Amino acid sequence: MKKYVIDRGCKACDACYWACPKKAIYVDQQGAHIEQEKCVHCGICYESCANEAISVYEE
Amino acid sequence: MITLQKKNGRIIDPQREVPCLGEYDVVVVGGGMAGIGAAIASARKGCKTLLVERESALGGLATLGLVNIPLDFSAGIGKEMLANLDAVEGHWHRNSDPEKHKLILDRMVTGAGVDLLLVSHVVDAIVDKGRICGVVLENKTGRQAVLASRVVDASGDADAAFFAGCECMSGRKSDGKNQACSLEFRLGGVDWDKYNASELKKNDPSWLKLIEKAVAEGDMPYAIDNHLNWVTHVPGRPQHCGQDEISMCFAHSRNCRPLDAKDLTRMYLEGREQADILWKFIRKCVPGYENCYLIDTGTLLGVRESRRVVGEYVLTTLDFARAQQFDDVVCLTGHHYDLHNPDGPGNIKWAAETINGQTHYVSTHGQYGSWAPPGNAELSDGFGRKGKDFQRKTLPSSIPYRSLVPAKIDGLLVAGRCLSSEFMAQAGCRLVLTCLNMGQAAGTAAALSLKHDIQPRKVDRVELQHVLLKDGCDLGQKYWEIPGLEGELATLETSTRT
Ligand SMILES: Cc1cc2nc3c(=O)[nH]c(=O)nc-3n(C[C@H](O)[C@H](O)[C@H](O)COP(=O)(O)OP(=O)(O)OC[C@H]3O[C@@H](n4cnc5c(N)ncnc54)[C@H](O)[C@@H]3O)c2cc1C
Ligand code: SF4
Ligand code: SF4
Repeated sequence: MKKYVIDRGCKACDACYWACPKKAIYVDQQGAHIEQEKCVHCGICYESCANEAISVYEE
Repeated sequence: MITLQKKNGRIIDPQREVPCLGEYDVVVVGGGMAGIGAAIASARKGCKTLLVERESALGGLATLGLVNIPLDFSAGIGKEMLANLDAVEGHWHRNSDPEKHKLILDRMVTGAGVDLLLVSHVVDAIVDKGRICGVVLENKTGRQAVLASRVVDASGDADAAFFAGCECMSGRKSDGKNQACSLEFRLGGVDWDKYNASELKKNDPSWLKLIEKAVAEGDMPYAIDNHLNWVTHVPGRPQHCGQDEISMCFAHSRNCRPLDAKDLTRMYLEGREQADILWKFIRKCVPGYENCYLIDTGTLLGVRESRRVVGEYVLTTLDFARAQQFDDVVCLTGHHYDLHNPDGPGNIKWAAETINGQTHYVSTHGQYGSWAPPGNAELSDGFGRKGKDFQRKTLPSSIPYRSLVPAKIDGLLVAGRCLSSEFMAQAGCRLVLTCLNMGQAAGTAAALSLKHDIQPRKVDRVELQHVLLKDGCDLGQKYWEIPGLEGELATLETSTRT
């Protein structure tokens, strides 16, 4: 299973927030974060991040 | 030729006869994202359509301005465009290849049956009894007129609307200053993997500390901007071999007057000087860029905001923050206030607004940008809630059809960054695909108004929305009901913002 983590310099642009079909992403002053329990591993956020701040890890 | 005649220090340009290039159902002024959407939509609805663009290629800022991040709701013609870009490896992680993008647009526009006229500058509008009925353009051939039953102004600067006598706004209310302009540039020879894995990218992605240090140590003579706005990897090039190509938004001109050719000249010169400083600083100080070189700067200066027309409805700053739902919604945006500081470095992601008689510093998603509000005041949401009561915007903002219809002149629609909106509302409504979606709505409305022989302001919004939905547009049907369209909505597929 693929795990998506926002760990490569998020610029809080908000794009992934709107892209995520499960509303599994929230954005605070530190940037965007994925709530892993809500995530369905679809990868849409990964593609939507023009800043490539989202990493994919194989679990 | 005109004979020299002077009056009060001005030159007299006497009335002259100009050849008429043709007569069209719809003339679209400007071939940027909004113009593309409008021209394709209008031609597909059977209108004889002419698209006039002053540059030598289509796409406007998204191609010639090197703004290669087509963000926002991908639907309708925009979705088709991204799929076409995907098919030629010209789109990846919401980064596009500006060169392939131009070619895709050429093919889409001509494929839809649009007559295309490049290198032609619209310099005037032809008006008859309060109705625009054509434009005057200048190009290598000279000065020509084109007659049109409907005109869509997608010039970004509302040129045609202004020439036709529409009331327009420009800049912020307090001092009329426009948003900062930025000349984009591309670098080659970049080791993207190295940069992406670097501590800098991880811990200081906007290079705030790096820039401070560079200014202190003389690697940058002054803070051209206090942050890196964005850097993207241009797709479809050699990758993972230390030879990547990137596109960068970093240069930043202040106190801009983007409707004044003299000041535009100043900004192009300044932008190229800034790019020259920046790429050398980057090569010295940024991991992965040790062997980089400058490829080019944008053909078009990045003008974020200039003239905005006064329409049947002026989209307000608070409408935007409150995600106000309009019955006549024609497109959506998921963006936030994105103001590039008119007279200093940095960006500002809040708007000072009066709510219930009190000043609030309104934000849609709780971010300040570069500068906190005066006195470090707390941010409010669009309804004035603060602190633990602050609620981020969870619905996209809508753009109503009335914001695309100028209040005064008939026969005319606008689309793109010149929509009828307050300064800070426009700061959230100008993403690449937002402009394209507005264009599709305007082109479709122009066609409907001709079909029924009515003025654009009289177009039945339910019929317009019905057609837009059938053509794959996103009117927020996933989020809310649109009066008059309830039954239909359930049967339609919804779009995504990716
Ligand atoms: C520096 C910068 C960074 C940005 N970053 C992003 C981003 O990361 N993501 C995103 O989605 N959006 C971004 N944007 C916003 C987005 O690029 C623009 O708002 C959008 O592309 C505007 O589209 P438009 O069609 O309204 O106008 P334009 O792209 O300006 O198109 C107008 C067209 O009309 C032509 N024209 C103008 N006047 C005339 C005339 N008189 N006669 C004939 N032709 C004329 C122009 O040559 C141009 O081709 C950025 C903008 C800037 C400036
Ligand atoms: S992988 Fe899919 S569900 Fe998970 S956060 Fe990303 S977009 Fe949302
Ligand atoms: S899209 Fe990327 S940069 Fe933007 S908020 Fe999401 S993770 Fe951060």
